[in-house]
Amino acid sequence: MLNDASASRMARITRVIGGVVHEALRVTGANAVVLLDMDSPEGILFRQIADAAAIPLAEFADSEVTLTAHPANKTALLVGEFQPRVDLLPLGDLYATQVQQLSDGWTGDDAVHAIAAALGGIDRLDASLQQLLEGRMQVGSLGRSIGVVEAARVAEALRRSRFRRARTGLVPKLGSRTIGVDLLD
Amino acid sequence: MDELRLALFQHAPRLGDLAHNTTAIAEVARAEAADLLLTPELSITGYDVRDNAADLAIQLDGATTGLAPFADAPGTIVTGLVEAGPGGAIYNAAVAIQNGHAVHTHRKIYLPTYGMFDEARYFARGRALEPVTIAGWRVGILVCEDFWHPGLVYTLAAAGIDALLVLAAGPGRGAWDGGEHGDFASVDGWERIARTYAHLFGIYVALANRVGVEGAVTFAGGSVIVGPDGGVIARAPSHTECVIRATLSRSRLHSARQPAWHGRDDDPGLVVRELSRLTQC
Repeated sequence: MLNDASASRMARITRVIGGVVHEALRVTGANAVVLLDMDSPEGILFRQIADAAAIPLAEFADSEVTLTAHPANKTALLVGEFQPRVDLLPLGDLYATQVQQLSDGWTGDDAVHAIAAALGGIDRLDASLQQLLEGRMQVGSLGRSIGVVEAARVAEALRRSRFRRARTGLVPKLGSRTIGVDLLD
Repeated sequence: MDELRLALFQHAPRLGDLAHNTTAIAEVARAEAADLLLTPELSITGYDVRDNAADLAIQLDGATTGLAPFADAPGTIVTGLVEAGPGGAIYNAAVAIQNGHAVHTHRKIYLPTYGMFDEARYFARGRALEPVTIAGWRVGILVCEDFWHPGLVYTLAAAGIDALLVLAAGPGRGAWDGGEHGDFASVDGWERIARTYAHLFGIYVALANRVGVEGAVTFAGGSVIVGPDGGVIARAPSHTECVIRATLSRSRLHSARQPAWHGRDDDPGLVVRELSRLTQC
């Protein structure tokens, strides 16, 4: 259940995201349609097949002449193994815990769950990512806070995703460092 | 003129649509009929012009047609555009327009080229500061990143300005952290600086920040007009295209400056001497 402050913030953030999505759609003249619920069993299967076969979802959408979107959060984009090949990532600048506060849940692939478990929870993972990225903390300093092995694991996950992130879809800027906008490394 | 009627248009320009943007600004100028209308950075072109800059650039000397829509607009309009300068140089500029003619230009000096910004790739850098007199008021003009360099504001204050006009295209950042006066924490940063400069130098500060969306970036708005005592006179909301207004008065300048004459006692000569000594290679 959201408290008043969270509900108000959600309304504002939704408005920001809505503005970006609206602008993108207006510019291209495309129509927004739900091609596939990516969290449904069919969607998960499609995602796995598409990822395994390196088939961009955009190719599937081409026949529909539309844009594609995926609800991946920032945590998943940073440390997950799956990079949605879509045009829009409207939640891509919100960490999993921030999405959780807005919707009572978050999604992430096995890699995200594994690293979150290793650090003691998604809260601790997100806090570590924020310290490294938004706070520009060095890995050594993070290690003194959460443990050297754990900090190195987070850093390695970030290193592994860096080239995938460079090919990301449009992420509406909400935070101080946004994937594809000013988080380029 | 003891009073100056200022209108600030928190504009949401369309990227690359000069005709639409100039028409919108001219319509506001006619409706407001203020002594001075201020709009944000690159209001006439939109912000993310990239290598379309040369195609969108307006030549301000000689027979220019780009400012024709402002010919019948009353007062002075201070707006942002891409200027085609001499020798093929392209500038991110603020221009003061009267009766459809440019009467003063400030070329942005500090071009942000870090993080999400890439301005030095497309624009040449301005090299000078020059106050301008508008309706009898001595005014300084800065563009966006210039405002974050206190040496520029100090220099204009030392030149005796009464008001500082700032044209900005500040992206919204820090939505989750929120802000006291808007959806973005970055809006609070701009306002804090505006209030500090105004209070320190005993000047009016009008900060026009744009709204609207370009690509992944949402421009934050939150424009403010601050009095010479550092108090906010008018504040625009985030996101919304709107006009805020204030009447600037010499009596308020006098009241703000009288209790503590920092400006009178300041010694620019000392600053120049010490800067030269301390920065000598």
